Amino acid sequence: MRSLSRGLSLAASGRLVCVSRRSSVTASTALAATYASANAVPCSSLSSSMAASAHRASAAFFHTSRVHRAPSDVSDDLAKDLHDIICHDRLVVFLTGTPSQPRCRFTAQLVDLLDQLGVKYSFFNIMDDEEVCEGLKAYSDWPTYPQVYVDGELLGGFDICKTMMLDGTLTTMLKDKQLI
Amino acid sequence: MFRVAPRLLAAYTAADIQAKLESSAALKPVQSIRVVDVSAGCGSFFNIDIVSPVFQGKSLIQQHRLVNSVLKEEISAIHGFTLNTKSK
Repeated sequence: MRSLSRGLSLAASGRLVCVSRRSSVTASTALAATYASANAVPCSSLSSSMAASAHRASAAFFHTSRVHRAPSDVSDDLAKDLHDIICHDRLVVFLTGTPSQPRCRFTAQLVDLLDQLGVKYSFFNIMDDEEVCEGLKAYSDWPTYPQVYVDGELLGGFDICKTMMLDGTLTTMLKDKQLI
Repeated sequence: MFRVAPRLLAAYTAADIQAKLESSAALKPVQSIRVVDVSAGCGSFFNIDIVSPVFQGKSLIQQHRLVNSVLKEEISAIHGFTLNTKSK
């Protein structure tokens, strides 16, 4: 179980390159503007540099991801960060709080469920980063937390994990993927 | 002048959510829907159970996304909800 966060921790991990990002105020403003707008705001208009935006756009074109993504909903920078966090480990959970200090009952129950299964996982405390919290809802088309990702793919929230646990498909899937 | 707290005016009732789900074209034909307000009537937390053949053949996450899209406005206003979907 390892804690994930952007910035220093990601850079220190050695496997991920910490992407330099715009100031949080600017990014938040851009994100808020996107959601406030009646029409979808093109991603390129959110970028401060047209050249950098074109590069990221071309990079995104060749990038394949199993996670549902609507480019108009999140900026390229944020999408890159979200993808990096989601793929940081084979099993990644986004929690409200931390496993030792959960901030809602679903997070607490999910942590208990994962501990019961004995799986290794990484977690991200979405209360540490409002931008990730709101951006991931749009990025994955899932409006609530906690969220569980397996091998970069959204598994669902606590309700889905609980249902799969009760009918046995969760343990079957994890064994097939050799996670337990 | 008596002022009602703005938040209360925005609260949803179980009946509101039930009506929304029952009238949604995406979920027709609906066999049964049960919406229970478990926040002691505050309109902030609901348990939702839906039985509809439209869920047949869909994965759990697809089923939940279908319902999430119908209740998009409500989900952003309430504190939380639990959802159970069945195809029969």
